[in-house]
Amino acid sequence: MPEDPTRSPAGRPGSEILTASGVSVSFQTAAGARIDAVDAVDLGIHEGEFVSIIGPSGCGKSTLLRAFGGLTRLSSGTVTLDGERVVRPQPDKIAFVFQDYTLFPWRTVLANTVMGLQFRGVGRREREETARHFLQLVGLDWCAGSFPAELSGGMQQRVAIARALTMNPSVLLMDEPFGALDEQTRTLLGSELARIVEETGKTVVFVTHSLAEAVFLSDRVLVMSARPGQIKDVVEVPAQRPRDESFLTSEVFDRLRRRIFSSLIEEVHRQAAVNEEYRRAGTSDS
Amino acid sequence: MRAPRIRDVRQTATVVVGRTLLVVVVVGCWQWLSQSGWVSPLLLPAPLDVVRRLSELLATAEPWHALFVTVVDVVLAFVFSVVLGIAFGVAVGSSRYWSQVTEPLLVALYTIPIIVIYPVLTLMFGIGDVSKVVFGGIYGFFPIAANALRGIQLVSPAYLEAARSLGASRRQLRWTVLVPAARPFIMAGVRIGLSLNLIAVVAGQMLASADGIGFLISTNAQLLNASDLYAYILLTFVLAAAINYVLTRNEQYDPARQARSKRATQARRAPALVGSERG
Repeated sequence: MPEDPTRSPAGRPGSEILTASGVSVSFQTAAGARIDAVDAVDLGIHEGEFVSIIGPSGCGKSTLLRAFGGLTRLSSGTVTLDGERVVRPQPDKIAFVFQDYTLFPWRTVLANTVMGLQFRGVGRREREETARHFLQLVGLDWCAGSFPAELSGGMQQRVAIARALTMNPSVLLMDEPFGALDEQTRTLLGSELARIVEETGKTVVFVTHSLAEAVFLSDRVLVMSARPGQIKDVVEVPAQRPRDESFLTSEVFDRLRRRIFSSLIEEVHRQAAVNEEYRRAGTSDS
Repeated sequence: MRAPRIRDVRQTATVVVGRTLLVVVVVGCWQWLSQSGWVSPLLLPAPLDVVRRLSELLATAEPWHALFVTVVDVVLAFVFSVVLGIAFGVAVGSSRYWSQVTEPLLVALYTIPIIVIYPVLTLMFGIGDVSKVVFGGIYGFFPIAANALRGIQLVSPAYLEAARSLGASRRQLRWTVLVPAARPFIMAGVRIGLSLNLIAVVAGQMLASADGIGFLISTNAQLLNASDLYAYILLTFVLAAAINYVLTRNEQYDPARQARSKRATQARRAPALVGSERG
């Protein structure tokens, strides 16, 4: 293993595209308490790389992802993309896919997909053409005129992915995009995502709760600690991408999953203790 | 459209019959009461006489002119309150600070009887149409503004974050995300606003004016001209019912839902048609 695994992935071709140095994020809760969500995270992500972030619930992994995309103010440190500091959303370079509420229910699938381009001021014809192209890529061009409510959860997330891709971003930040879906749909969408990433060559940072998803999709899996979130462990997945479903039953897959699990479970217990402590403090205050 | 099931039809029919019967009974009591001689026809003319008088009046220009004036005033007041109400609600609702500052005031103003300022308006604008339009507009403004404000505040932050990540500017956020997301609330406010527009315009005409249905009602009341008075009251009912009809039709109209059900029907009827869009 290299000396600093967060910075130098062995044998990765692309140059470093997204860099976090000393990133910390704190919030104030409505009650006035200060929460340190992310603490001094250093991370380098390379072009074309697929990195998953896994960690206990509430450990700050979504916050870290938002910090990467300029959706959260940092309390210290910097995030740079291609050498430029990220302080606000950069829709032409960084696209998000969220877990839910990603599609606007009053807009059709096509109208949802064009939104980013519409905000950018792209003309109607051109943006619809681009949108249809990406809907086709995710296999949903046939329901362009449907409303989100008519689609299954998995289909809605595919539309959200298509919408993110219309912006032609260099980095795709995905916050538990399949979190609300059932196991089987997740597996299908995981393969679908692997194919899309392969075709488009995007760099992906992927927050997930699912070990299997993380190992199956990623070049590297980062395990985050209990809050305040730090990167505790970096696990490389030494298998060529794209992987097919047979990888899910391979010995390497099992071994990595066990390794990540043992690292993760400790933090899950610690985070549970932190959460309980926090609740108790809240009750004694009031 | 989906063919309604027989049970649904039967139930709807029962409801309609019940409703009609209720109206017939009420009007019947009225007719009986006025014929019984217990109540002076000066206070309560028989319904049939009222209807007859109204049809006579409708042959003259007077009610049509009054109706025209009233409808124009209501429409202008409605435009006034919708434009200002939505603009205010959206502008204030998208700023947390200004929401906190204005919301309690707005709710308080919504509760006070705004009619107390009507004399001031007649002093400022005279007893013509302007004072009615302004008064009706103010009356309708508050529910529309308050609902728009509330609706904007309740928009899920997840929508805003998604739109921001897609590069929406503040202005784009406001008109492509906040307003459509708050639409159900805004429409509820608009409905209440329109009925208040009507109430306020007619009330204004009754209090001080030289025109409109409200004016005819108050004049005929002062002249103890019972059949004309009741005829115009009935005309006001008809106008309110017409507005109410427009409102409830609008309530049922939801373009997204309609498009959905239309598409679903098409998909059921002609799957090949939908499938052919693939190519």
